[in-house]
Amino acid sequence: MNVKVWLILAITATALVMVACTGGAVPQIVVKETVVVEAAPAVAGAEESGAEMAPQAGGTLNLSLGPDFVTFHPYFDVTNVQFKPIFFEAPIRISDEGDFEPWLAESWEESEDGLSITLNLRQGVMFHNGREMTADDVVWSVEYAMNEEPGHHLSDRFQTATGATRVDDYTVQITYSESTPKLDGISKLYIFPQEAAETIETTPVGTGPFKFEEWVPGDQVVAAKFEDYWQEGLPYLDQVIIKPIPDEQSRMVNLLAGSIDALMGVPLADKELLASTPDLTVFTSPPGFEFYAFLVNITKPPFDNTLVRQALNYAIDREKIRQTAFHGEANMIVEPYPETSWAYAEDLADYYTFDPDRARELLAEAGFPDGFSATMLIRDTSGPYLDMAQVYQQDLASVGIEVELLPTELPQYWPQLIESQFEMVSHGTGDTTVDPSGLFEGAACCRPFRNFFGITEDMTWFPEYQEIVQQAGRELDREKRKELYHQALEIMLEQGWTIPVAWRQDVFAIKNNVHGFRTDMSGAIWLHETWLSP
Amino acid sequence: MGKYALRRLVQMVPVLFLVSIAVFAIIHLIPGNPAEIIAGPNATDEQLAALRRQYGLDQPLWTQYVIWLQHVLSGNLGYSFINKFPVSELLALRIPATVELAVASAIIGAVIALPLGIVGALRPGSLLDFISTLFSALSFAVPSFWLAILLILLFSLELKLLPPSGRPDFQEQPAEHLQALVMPALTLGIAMAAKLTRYLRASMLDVLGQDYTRTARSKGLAETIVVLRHVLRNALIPVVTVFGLQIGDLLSGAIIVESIFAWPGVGRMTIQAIGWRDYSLLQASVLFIVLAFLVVNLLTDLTYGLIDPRIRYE
Repeated sequence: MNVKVWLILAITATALVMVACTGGAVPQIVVKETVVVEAAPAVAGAEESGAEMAPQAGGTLNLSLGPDFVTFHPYFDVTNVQFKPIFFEAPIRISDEGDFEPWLAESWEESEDGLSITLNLRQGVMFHNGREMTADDVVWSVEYAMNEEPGHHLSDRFQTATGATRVDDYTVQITYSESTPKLDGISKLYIFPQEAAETIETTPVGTGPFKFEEWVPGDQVVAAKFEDYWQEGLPYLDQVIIKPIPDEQSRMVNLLAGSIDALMGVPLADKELLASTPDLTVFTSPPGFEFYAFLVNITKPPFDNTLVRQALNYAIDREKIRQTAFHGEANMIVEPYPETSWAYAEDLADYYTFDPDRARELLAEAGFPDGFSATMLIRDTSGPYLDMAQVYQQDLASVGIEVELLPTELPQYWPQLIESQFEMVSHGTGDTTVDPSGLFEGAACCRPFRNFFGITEDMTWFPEYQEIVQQAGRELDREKRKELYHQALEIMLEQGWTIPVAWRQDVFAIKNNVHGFRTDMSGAIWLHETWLSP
Repeated sequence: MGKYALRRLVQMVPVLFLVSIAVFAIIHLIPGNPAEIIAGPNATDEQLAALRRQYGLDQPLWTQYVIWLQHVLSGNLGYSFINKFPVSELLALRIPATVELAVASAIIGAVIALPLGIVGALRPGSLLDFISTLFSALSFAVPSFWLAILLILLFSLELKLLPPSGRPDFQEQPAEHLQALVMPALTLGIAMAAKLTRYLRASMLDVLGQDYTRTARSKGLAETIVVLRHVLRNALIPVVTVFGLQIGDLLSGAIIVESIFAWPGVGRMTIQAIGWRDYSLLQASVLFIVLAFLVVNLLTDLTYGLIDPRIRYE
């Protein structure tokens, strides 16, 4: 009996001592200053070390993107879309300044009327299967991209394309039925050989710096240096191994333990921890393309009332959302363009401020002095969409609007969203495009075939707005387009269909011996100049 | 006993057939389908329709089932809707990982449980018994994911002895493969041992109090023989039942452990298949799990026959 009592006491004492000695890290809400938006995308490396280190060839980079791959088909956007530049390349790519620069095409010319574009391709670009890329391949790619039958996502961008013709071995002309922004589509026109199309989903073959070796689903993807890559001396790495690690914590542990060298998709809550680890550097991708937002279904009262929608915009406390849902680590927005975009309207940046009194006024004016109740569909059952919705729920409650949250698993979420079966929804929106037109169409209404606001094609709704947006897309002169987008923005903000919250930004962490790791504004990973120091 | 085993094996076939119908119906009744998920929210109606056609989802349900059944009977399990790999290949990749983990965990579980359970029963109320009970209680209380993370923190981050996740190929890196197996097997094995220890101890105490034990002792047999040959054998029957159920559980995939250790087993694959509505993969996966359970059940029943000669099968 005695022994047992002593043992219990001993164990309890040990436990208490251990807890005390772990120096309990009490989580505190650190109030941070507004993060300054950095326009330059991350080309990560040891620039700050001062010494200009010469890149060294060799080595294997272990990388984790998070979930496993579903398909390698470059025209589909399902999971891990950032990997594409490892295997595939397009005629142009997004530059560090947020514009387009030549890549597989040395140069391009758009016609005066905007109905065609001519690409001048590089010579001597080889595919992984050994043959050279020529104009015929690009022509085939355009036709494949235009084809809606396979159900891939790229056909959206080539909706107005009418065809491509080979001008000579290295020159291609693409024609369009109307003048629309073309470069985003072309920057996603990853060129792959026709003979590889059958198996492209499981075996990527392109012109990129790394050649596909093997894919073991659930285990890893192995890519080896492509010896005949068109850029001399590149890539530096011998091998890239991409490991799917489903569990978030497990990804962190792997990075800390050193079994991976780079991790994309670091959870915001862990950014601080990783940043303070000595041999890791943490970067955030620049804002610009996708943002978190609340949307309302304007066919369902009371959301068909403009005053009500404006009230919703005044009721949101973005700072609180930033502190709680985003752990102090987000760039909050009122208008859907980043400061780096040429369509950014500085004068509209503070259109809505947090003003619950004004919100209540507007609600009373609209005929709801006592508020009302509604439901909010939430994208997924956990994560930022739910976190920010919970904060917003409180904000709305304080102006008299009772919102019931409906967290929904993704497979059920998408159909409900697409069929507009919601009153409010916590969603992300925006389209990964450099040209402001893509952002507009995704964010607001005017996609003729798919929108989330319950609008059908034959309803003439805000024809003025629709007209402006379409005209801005057709117009070629940048100044005129900027003006048109400004007008459209004014309407959009005044009408309040969308309540933008914050930019979706990827946080990624790399070990300090990894240099030249580049991501662009769309979040894609470019490893052609990546190298490892010992 | 051979005839009995054969009969049981034959009986599995109608069971599997009925289960396949039930599973097929259930997974198709859940809202959402793979075409919608791959297409995503920005797809046009035409893109969606095209994908549905490709996947054969525009056919009536019973047609789809019959087509699937025909394929299976000719040895073709189909292709994953999501990653286009043949289902048989995916299963061939994941099943060995799950089986390996199950076997390793079972061994660890048994190795821990047997001594602790026996000692606890032989010397109830002693210090050793107390430790055994404490171990059981703690292992029951501690959630597996917590234990897993603790182990990772200790062995991967602090001591840097074991890899935190993954499963290197055995043929290429045998040492690393075994290292990667240690922590997941330990996590699951400890959880198994918790239960087994209690069952074994209780069962043995029961048998120790029986008349024939007293008889064996009074015959002058050495204590070791009494315990191991007589008491243990009799005590094992309920324990074997539990053990069998636990192994069946492990074969259906220890999802949490597989997630944390990125162990490419059947459990995670099944959960992912549900999320992606990957009908063909899900169907095959669930059937494998049911089959595994049936086989383990059979083996458990046959083991009774081995342990207790009084149990005979016609």
